Amino acid sequence: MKSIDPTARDCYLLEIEGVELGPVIPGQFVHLRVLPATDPFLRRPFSVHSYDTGNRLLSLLFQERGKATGILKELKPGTAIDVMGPLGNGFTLNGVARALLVGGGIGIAPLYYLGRRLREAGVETRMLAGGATSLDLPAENYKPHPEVQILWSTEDGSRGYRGTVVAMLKEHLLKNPREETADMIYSCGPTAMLSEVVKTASNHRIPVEVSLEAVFACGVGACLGCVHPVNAREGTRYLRVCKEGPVFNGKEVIFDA
Amino acid sequence: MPDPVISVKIGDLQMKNPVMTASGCYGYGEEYQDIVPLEAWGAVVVKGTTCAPREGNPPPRLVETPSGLINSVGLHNPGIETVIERELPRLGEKGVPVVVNLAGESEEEYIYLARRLEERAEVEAVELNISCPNVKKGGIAFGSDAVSAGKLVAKVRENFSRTLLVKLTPNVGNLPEIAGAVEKAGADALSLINTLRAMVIDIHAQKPVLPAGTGGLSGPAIKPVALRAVWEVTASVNVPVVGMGGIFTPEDAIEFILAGANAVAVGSAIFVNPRIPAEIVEGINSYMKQKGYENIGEMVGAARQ
Repeated sequence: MKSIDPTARDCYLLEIEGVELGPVIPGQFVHLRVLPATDPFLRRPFSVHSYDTGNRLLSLLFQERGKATGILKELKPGTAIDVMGPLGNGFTLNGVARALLVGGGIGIAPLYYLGRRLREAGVETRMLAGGATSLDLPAENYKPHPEVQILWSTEDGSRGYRGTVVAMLKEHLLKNPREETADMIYSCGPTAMLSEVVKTASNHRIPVEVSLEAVFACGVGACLGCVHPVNAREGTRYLRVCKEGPVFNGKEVIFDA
Repeated sequence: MPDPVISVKIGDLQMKNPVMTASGCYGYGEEYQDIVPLEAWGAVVVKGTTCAPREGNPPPRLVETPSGLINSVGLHNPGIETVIERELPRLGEKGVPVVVNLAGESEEEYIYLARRLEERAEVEAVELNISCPNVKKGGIAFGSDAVSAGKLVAKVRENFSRTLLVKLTPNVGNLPEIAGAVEKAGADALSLINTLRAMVIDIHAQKPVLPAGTGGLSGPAIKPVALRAVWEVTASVNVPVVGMGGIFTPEDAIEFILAGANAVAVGSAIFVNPRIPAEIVEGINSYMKQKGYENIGEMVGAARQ
């Protein structure tokens, strides 16, 4: 572990050096063993916030939610961390010319790496990021790439658009002609928000990919503990968030199960 | 001094080391292939398999507890035909004995499953699951009563000629009696234990976290209970026992062997530390050297003397 720094209320940027992951697709996750003890028992999954293949530097952005993340934020630089990954299916990057990234709360974590990679591939990329207040968002100049524009929203209006990120997305899509907005929407955040993002994207006939969250045990598809209902050709299927996901075609995900 | 002998034989199941996977925690052996080689295990026990495909229970299916994990997966599996077509040929090439865990809703289903696998040379043993706490029908109903357990095992025995293991539930008051009936009915070995029925309540939502209400607890939290089950059963039963339930370290595995287990299986600890089989093998080796054991069989039940 190299460093840990607060980025927003209850949110931390964890940098781990010397992590050999090989090629990483944005949206993939790593499975961390927080302590060599039995409580907390399971590993914890974190989506890749940034990875530098050359100097093997892995960054994770996480929110303190319970025991494991509480321990993680107190780790001292130099502590060894057991990292498994990269795991799961990431976002589709090919065939996209203009991308819109929609993140709610800590859901912005994988979108930063996605934004950087899309921009590096020459994709016109814009990010909509929302939180309850400005205290829940990282610094305004914290960007995935200098050429990625971020539009912020806060529910109390303390930064950017006043309202939810979904409300901002709806306005953004109504105000701007389709050919100038996006040919793909990528989203990560709370389930209720993702459901709204998918509806909005569908109304505008824009393809949408979402990154889901679940409690994982194995992280590799063996235990079948993390499934989410998805519409498949053969009807409703329980697919593994850790293996077939965490990124799914938004229009296939069943949100109101 | 030569390396101690750690190979074991359970029925006709010959294993190079005594460390097996616990059913449901290693899928069909493919999922962990990039992380830890299948060959590290003495035998691989695959996911509980049923006649028809099953989609399992609705999510959430997992809840973590102090040093434990409650699951309510509900035998989500592709069904016996898909397992035979897709999983067994691949598994059979690895040189590691394959054990298929079988779960039926009725006597007829168990017999059908056993017959289908009788025809498959890749399968060296079956493990009869009469102890899953997460499905409504069959399974644990057979495992909770000595008479029905014995009757079912006898029927399956008539239809399966290779090694027959029977996995028992600890959620009973008469485990040694059930174990005795299963032994008498012709089981080659017993797997002890399946998960303990358990639950967690979300105090904000004021309802159980798992939609099914309860699930099965595994992990280090249940190890003392599992060890007690092995201890009690091996006092009165003569067939070999595979001990499992919360094994997380080599020392845990050694405890089970000293309590009377001939082999051990690792379940949820794989999720945390996929390299665990090699670590246990190494730990058993050095323990045996330190204590002067030449063959692992000498250690089995040593705590009772």
